[in-house]
Amino acid sequence: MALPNPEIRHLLSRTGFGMARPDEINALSGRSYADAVDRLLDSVTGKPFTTPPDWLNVPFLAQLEANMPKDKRDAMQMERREDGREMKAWWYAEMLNTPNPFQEHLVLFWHNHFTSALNKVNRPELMYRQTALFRTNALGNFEKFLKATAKDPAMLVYLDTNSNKASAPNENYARELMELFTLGEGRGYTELDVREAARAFTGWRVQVGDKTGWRIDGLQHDGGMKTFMGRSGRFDGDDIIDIILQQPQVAEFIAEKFWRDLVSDDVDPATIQRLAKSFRDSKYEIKPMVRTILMSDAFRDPENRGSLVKSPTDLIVGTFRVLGTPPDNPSLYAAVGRALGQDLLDPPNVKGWPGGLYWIDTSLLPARNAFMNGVAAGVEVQVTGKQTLATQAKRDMKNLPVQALDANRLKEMSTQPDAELAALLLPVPPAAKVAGPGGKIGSLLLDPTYNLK
Amino acid sequence: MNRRDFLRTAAAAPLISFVPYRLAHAAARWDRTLVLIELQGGNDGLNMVVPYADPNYAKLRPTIGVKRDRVLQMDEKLGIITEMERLMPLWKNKELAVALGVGYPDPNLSHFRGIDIWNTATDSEESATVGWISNIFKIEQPPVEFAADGIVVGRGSVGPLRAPDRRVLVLENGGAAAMNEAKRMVGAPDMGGGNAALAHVLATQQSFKMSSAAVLAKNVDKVDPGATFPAGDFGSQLQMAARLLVGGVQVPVIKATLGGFDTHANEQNDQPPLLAQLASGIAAFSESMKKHNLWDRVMVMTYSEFGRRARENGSGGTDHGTAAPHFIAGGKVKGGFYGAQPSLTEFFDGNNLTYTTHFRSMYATAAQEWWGISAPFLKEKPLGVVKA
Repeated sequence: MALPNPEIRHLLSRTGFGMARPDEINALSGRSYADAVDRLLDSVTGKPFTTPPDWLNVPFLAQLEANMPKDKRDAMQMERREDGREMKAWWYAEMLNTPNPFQEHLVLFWHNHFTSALNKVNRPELMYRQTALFRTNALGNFEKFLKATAKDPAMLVYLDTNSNKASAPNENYARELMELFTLGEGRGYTELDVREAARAFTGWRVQVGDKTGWRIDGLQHDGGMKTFMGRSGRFDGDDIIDIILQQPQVAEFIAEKFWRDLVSDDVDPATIQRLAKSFRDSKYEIKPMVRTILMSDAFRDPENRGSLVKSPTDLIVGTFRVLGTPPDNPSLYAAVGRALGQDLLDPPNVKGWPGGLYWIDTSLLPARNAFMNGVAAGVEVQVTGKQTLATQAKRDMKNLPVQALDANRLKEMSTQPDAELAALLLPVPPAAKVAGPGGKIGSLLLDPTYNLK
Repeated sequence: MNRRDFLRTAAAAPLISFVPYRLAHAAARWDRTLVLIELQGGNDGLNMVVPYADPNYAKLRPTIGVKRDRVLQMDEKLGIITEMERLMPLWKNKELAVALGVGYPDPNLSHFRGIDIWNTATDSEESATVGWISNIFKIEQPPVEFAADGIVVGRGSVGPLRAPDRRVLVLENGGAAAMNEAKRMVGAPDMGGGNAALAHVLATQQSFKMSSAAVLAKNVDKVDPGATFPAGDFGSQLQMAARLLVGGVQVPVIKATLGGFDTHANEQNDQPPLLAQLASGIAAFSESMKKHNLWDRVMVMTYSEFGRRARENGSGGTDHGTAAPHFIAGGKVKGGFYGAQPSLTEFFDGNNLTYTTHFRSMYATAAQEWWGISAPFLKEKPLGVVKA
């Protein structure tokens, strides 16, 4: 192996999970950068690689709980909890196994934008359905996507649209639609706009046992005149979204969010405005905007490498995509994510994970370090082949078995020159020689810069 | 030394040595520690501080209501259940305050959203990330020479201390894991530089190293707290808290967690043992503090994501509700009831108690009365609990 192409490594680590395998880097290295970007964008097909969990075949919400006897309801609740754990495990398996990590990176991006949480929605099949919606629309048209999320069953439950009625409007969805999904907090709407928008979404309900998943309950819908953002009419929810999408702040808000996810926390307003203008001019096509970002000088600037903090999901999925084997028990990875501060499908609140520097504080960094120390000990066992993992290292590895690390790949890697290994595993040169298990691979995994992408 | 050399030396020296600390922060009382106890799951206040004299109480809770002979009278209307008898000496000594009907407008009955609101001190419909204590510490920074800004004993979240730049140590199970990690890091070289993200990682690592070294140096596991703590995880957490303070670890906040309060069913079996742990834990902690002349320098405060429904449900339990009483204890605390007991006849949204004391007034008590820090973002008046 020669030194991995640093620009392609950077492109893959930012669009995937903070790292890239040598075979992934090599597959894109022989071509022009623009060609590599297009290949990546085209890899987002909307289809998952892993077979979805079989409980999805049960028609969603076929059973309602209200009139169920208690023992049946309890049994169903138990089953749902189990399905919920499986749902989280399934997503980890997909992220670890997919040949197209960019797609799952985007699903996670949208999960953190159009948040819903299993702990409130309480129906794993609806959360699966929502992530599937994110997958098919990941790089699609934002207008179409936004309207679909407004009618998505998990969203209808999570932000209380499902109980929003003409006689007592619930403002939860209307507020977050503007504050978190489109305009940004306090940018171009008033409290009156929130109240009027809430009326427009009254009567929107989850449709039980139906593919569309959505209906309007005419009795609960307020069909009256509304005044919203200075316009008046008998608006329904789609009309409200149309009016919101006429505000230039929407494109700026979404462009900036992508910029922070893919490029940097250093945001130049003029650049965002240029991106936003072409996003609006394209009638909200996401793919060309993302292409522009990935082609930008700021993204490609070598100084930009290693300037973002890896999320716990990046740390776990990236590490095991590069060093690991396909997981036997993906629920173990979900448990690590929870311990490190990112419980997938259960974001802390409707704002999602704040991310960036928030991933690292004095309580989370030691937890990350301990986990990586466990992994490094596992690497040592696999490379030397002579010991078993020490008890403390097992604890540090959060019960992931040492077999989750690929012995053959690690042995081969350990024969590589230091410079090549560092250029593969780290985004920038190592910051320190850290003593620890796992030889030279371990010392790179424990380097402070391993937390960066 | 020429001018350039002098500037270089001056820039490298820690800023703090040039600012007389007590002068710059004359107001804040950093010799005082707040000990927070999170009651996880939503504690049922009506079966803890029982409105025994209100006939509506027995009507609302025909099966799980605490009978009169199991109530220790605090005044002519309210009393704690007998399992909490170890709190009675503190109550009689006027070292225990009870804030009544603590809650907030438009309450959220989800565990997750509920505790989020309590952790960040926002209004019900607002979401934020930074914890309320971290926001107070943004106004007045705890001394840099302190071991940490906060120590979490036990498995609980950092909750109110959340912020990327806070120095918070998590000492789960007596802190073995954190101390292992600390020992591992002792040899790691101090580093600086790089981009903003790397600088943050390195600064956080440095903070953690310094905090854990400060705790390690005090050998707290060898400290005799001078009291017997109740068996179990919660007792161990408060024992750890006592050891830290007796051992001389300087820290403005310690947080402990007692879980299991989500009593939808069999509340009569499940809640009293938890309350017994709570009461005997606080009692042992106060005993330890008194023995070491620290009781005037600590204030214990409980909180929970919500209270529970006034009317019992069909499973011998109570569902998620709203307002509940909370304890504040310490040598500087003026004992007694604060605020009004919520009505048991006038409910909203189907027998939910109407709050009478805003939860942020407890936080304002911590900020203003305890530490002497004015924190306008809390928007509520302090309770007037702390002695001058």
